Amino acid sequence: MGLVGSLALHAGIIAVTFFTWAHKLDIIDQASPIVPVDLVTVGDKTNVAPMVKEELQPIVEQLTPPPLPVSLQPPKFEVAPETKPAPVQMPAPKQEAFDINNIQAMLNKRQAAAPKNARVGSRNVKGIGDQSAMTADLRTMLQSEIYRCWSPPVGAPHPENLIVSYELFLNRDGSVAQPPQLTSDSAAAVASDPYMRASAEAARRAIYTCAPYKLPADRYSQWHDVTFVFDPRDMMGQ
Amino acid sequence: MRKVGLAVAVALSLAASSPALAALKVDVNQGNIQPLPVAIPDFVAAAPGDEAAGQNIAKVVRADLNRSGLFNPLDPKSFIDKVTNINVVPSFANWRIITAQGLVTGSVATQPDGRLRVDFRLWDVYGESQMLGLQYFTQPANWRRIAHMMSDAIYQRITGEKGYFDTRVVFISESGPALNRKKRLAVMDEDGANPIFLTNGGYLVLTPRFNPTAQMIAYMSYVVGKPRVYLFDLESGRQEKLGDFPNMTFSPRFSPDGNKVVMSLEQGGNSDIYVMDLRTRAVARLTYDPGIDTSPSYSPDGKEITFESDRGGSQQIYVMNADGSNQHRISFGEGRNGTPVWSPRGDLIAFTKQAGGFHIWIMRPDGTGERMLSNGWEDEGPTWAPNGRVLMFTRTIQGGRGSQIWSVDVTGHNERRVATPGDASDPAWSPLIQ
Repeated sequence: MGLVGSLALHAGIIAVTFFTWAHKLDIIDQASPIVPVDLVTVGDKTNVAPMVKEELQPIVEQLTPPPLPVSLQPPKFEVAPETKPAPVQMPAPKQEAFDINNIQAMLNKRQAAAPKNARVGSRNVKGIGDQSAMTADLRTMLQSEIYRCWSPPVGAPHPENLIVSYELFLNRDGSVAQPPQLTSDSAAAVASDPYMRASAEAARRAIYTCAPYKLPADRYSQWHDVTFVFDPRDMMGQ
Repeated sequence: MRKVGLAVAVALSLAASSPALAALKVDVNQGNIQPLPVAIPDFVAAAPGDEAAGQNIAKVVRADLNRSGLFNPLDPKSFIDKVTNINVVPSFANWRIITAQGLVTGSVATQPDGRLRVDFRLWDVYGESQMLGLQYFTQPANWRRIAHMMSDAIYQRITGEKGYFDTRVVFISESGPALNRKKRLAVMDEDGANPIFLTNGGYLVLTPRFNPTAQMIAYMSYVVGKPRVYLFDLESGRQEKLGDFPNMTFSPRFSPDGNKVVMSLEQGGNSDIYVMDLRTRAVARLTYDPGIDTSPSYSPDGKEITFESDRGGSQQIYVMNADGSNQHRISFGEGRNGTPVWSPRGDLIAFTKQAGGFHIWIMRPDGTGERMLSNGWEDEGPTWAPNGRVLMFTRTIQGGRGSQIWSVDVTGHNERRVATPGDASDPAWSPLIQ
């Protein structure tokens, strides 16, 4: 009985679906109206600026517990005072007088005090509120420039092994600030493989011949540090 | 209290100034394949008598690199600087202005003992550093080979793979009317220079192949009316019939170590593949099929052989182990496929595909990745440059207007006619000359 009811219900649902579809298709048949659209760059306005942190105000009000009833107060012990040895006289640490006009010198000292071989944390930390959100258009701009200049060594065997990454710093005018550096994994491969070395050199030539890069100066903070990942796999056979 | 407050302020300002911005990561997976612009001024002559050599060497290097399709030697007329001393770091800015990315400077000097000393340096114009510096001594008559060796060195430094300019090509030179065609065995430099005829055209010659030292050629000839495989020693000019078989032998090719020749032997209308050890002259049969098995070619490691066979009904390409075991078909594309040649790099097999014309194709040794490289009216018989990067083949011109040798890059680009004296066919590329 239950089975028959279930079958009937399913058949009903399927029939309703067909009925609805037919109507839907009629509607879709109509051509959609053309809406003219102006493309504007909105990155400047919508992008996320560095977040201003509100400092939390410390709670200054001192909470004083009510006095415990006498019966719950801990018992008092009397301990005989120990005779302490006389403390050795140490020269007092030299206290530097703080000079409000000489903060820079103070900061310099502070840096010099850091150990020389200290490990530096990864610089490539993606931060929220650091204008790192709207970079897709910058990426496209850089791609369209570097595509013109990159002539990878096509015809080499195993192109999947010839991917190289370069990190470079750009000046505000789009020129290359200092020689681009291979990322550590690329550098290791380049040292051992002549094809990889040729691939890396072709990538470096592309970086130089394309400079200066034409990028929006007001967003310099987003593109002064660029990592190019050159992947010749799609170019093979051309 | 004031000090503490200030210390907090300093700490906060330090934290705020620490670089927290991420590097902008850009994937570059499209490019613009362009030959590398390179400036090669005439080489500096130590004495007025060396000027011609300096100009000629630079000219051959420019021509070699240009022919490869990977370099664009710039017109010397555009040069701003004149190189007068190759031991001084060039003014890179003046070479960047003319868009040069590489710069080759060289000098030529005749030594007191009569030999020619050639120095050259390859510079990275943007990196402002020397990439290569080499020196050669040679007899003055050898200047052309020195130029080719320099081209090879530059090619290798820039592309990462060995060059192919210091090589030779053996081919069949054709001359005379169509009904009385003279076919002579000939050899020339890779750029078409120094052609030499090895036979006088008194009998038909076909399918010449170099051995790995480029000193010996195996070929098929009808010396006394019977087609047989012969060996030709380039140094002594001596010819020798290979083996004493009752029937036709043809389609010879050396093993990568040069110690064996693999070829076809015909018996009663059935061709099979045999291998002969040149040291012991012992012969082993590799195929036993009733079909026609021919055009064998070793893999560069000598462990496998590719060949063509019609055992499946139509001419197709097969691979077997060097001892004849594990024979299996690898070509399953359209049309008929023949004359397979294994790339010296090992990664590809080139072949002739007959499907609405004859064209040169390549595929991987497992039969995948079939790709057309040339589509002339009738292109056939590919041969690899020793670096596995370029191929030559025979192109027959439509309407019985003769045959020519052409070359094409493994990417299918840079198709060029190879300079030959008159009509030519059946090229075979030598290894790099030792």
